[in-house]
Amino acid sequence: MYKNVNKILIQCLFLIKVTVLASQTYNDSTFEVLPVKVVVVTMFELGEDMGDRPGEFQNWVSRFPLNDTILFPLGYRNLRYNKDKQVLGVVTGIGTARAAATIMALGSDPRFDFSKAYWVVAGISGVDPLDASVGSAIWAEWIVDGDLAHEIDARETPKEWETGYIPLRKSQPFELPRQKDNEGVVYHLNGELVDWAYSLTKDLALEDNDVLAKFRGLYSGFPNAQRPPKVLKGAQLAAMTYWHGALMNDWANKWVDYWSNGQANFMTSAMEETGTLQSLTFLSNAGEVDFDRVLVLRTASNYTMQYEGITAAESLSGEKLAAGGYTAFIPSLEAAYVVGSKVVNELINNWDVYKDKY
Amino acid sequence: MIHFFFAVGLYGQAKENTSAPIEVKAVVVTMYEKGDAQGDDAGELQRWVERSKIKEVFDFPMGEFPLFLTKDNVLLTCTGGGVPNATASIMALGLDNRFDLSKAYWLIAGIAGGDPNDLSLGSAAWATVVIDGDLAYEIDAREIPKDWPYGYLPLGAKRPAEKPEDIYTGWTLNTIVFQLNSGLSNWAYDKTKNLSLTAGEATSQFRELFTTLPNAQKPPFITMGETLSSSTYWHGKLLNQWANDWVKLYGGETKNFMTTNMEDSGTLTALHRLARTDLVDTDKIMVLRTVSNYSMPPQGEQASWSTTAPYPEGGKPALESAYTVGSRVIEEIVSNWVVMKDNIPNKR
Repeated sequence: MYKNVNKILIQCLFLIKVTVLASQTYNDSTFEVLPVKVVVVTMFELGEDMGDRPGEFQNWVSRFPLNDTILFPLGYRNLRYNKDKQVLGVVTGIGTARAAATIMALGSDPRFDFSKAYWVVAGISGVDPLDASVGSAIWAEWIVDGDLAHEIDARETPKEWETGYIPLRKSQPFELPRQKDNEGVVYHLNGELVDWAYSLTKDLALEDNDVLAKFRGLYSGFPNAQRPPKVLKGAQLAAMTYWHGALMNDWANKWVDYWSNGQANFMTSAMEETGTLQSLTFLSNAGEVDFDRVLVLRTASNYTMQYEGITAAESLSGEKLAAGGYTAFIPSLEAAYVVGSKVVNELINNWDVYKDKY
Repeated sequence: MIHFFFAVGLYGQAKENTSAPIEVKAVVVTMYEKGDAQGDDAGELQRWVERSKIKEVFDFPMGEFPLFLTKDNVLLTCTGGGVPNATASIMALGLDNRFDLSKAYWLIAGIAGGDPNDLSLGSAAWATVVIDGDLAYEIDAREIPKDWPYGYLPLGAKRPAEKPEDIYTGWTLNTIVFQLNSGLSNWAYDKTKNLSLTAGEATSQFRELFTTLPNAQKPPFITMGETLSSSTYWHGKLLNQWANDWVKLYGGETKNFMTTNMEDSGTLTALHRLARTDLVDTDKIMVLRTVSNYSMPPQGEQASWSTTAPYPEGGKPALESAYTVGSRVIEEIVSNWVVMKDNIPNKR
């Protein structure tokens, strides 16, 4: 276990001084290595951690709760920790670059022991109206990057092309065979763990209300978009480019199908996970974390394309939506907490079972 | 109140490190290599490895290639392609307690697409700003309103931006624009502007296809010009216009888009994080990109052909330029280290 020896060495050599709020205090020249059972990974927060308009982090901070603040200058925002539950919360910042930087900084941080940690990514996203409705919660086994591609403006492509996006090192859209080395485009999580999380949460009741009903009612011709919110399993497309519209939604479905060899169905659109998972892959290669213990949950705050009768631009700007903008914003935050915390609580309450299970 | 005293910022990944960290004078960041880093067909990294005297090779599981330390304490790394890769492995490198990078200069030196309005194959451009091109809204251009020039718009915007104020939209992201130390960029340009770059017959034949664009037809040269960074390897006349507009909107009216790359906004995201605890000095970062291909097709040709057509001479003129121009600057740093360690040229 030279890792721990080394951590002591680092303490002696570099005198890291950390003071945290409230109950947890580290003294001047040493720090205790904190055990972590679960890391909750969120992507953005608005204003303060608590007490104002919430982002993804706030429910975890105030309700889980995560009472202790731990300073994290190399991250996007300070960490939060529950020392009894040994659960750590992090906010990555928006986009794959920020996510990769934050997770690499966290996974390399000698103040924590992540060797047994589960990582639960819980955030909001766009959702494909072909598959689900706003307010729904979706566990991903497959995550595909949507930025790493060749692209030509679609008006400048040959007429028969369905999209201007081409896999890297290929010359046409969806050209086979796929590259053996996908260069960080595809991440396949531990299917057994994802199925376990889905089974545990699939019957949870998710928040529904009149606004959601009105919003989803606009999507005539999309039966799955019109159902009340539910928990599902489906693939995520991760891209810093926040795309929208019927044509790109079609591309997203085919892109995920292509990269998963037909094994995954695109359902959610988000902006960070391929950054998070790139860092967790490197950290796992170095023995710092266990990539088999990663879960990705996204909950739908909006649809990825317009309903019939408005343009993609109108849909994207929210101008013609029922109540303007992300009508499912608050319910989707609630769903991420309700579904995500069910899994986190199960893990920590039965740690004897899960400590060495996956 | 939160109190935080970060006496020495070097907390790093858990690596056995019983000796003092190695003081690194410069880090050469490359992005792309074919096969191994030595002994086969050379990409960006291999030229540096094989032309330097390597003192030590370090395992680096947090990246795609090992790290190479030269006898002059210059560290050579290769991030692999794309923004996530670059961000993750530069962050890991910066946290690696085997090295002291606090005084190091950073030279990002790699090949790129070049705007044929400004550059020719094999040419080299020093940037003063790096602009991200992924963080945007996008609608497929076939379903945009008729009066939009393209489907890319600032995050949160309702239509493509026309004026700088149009980019402030409610999404507050500080990872789109990375200002470099322009004094240092100017110094690097000045030290290298008279170097002679070479290209072969296939390259000169290809550049002559750009009959209406005089800069695209020139033999390779060295200049200053800005770089747009995105995991998306875009190509074509329409997106080339977007790239020029985007760099002016985010960088300022005087900034001219010249090269397109796939990593630098990630590398800069990591370096700026690391600088918060003085692990690196962002005033010591230089970005050099050299042209392996044009960012749009020659007149009369289709983007669907030129976007993935083989690079003339396999991109060799650009690979050579990156080494020729980059190594000149590294030599300057190493040979003047006593002064340059604490004195950045053209200090702001």
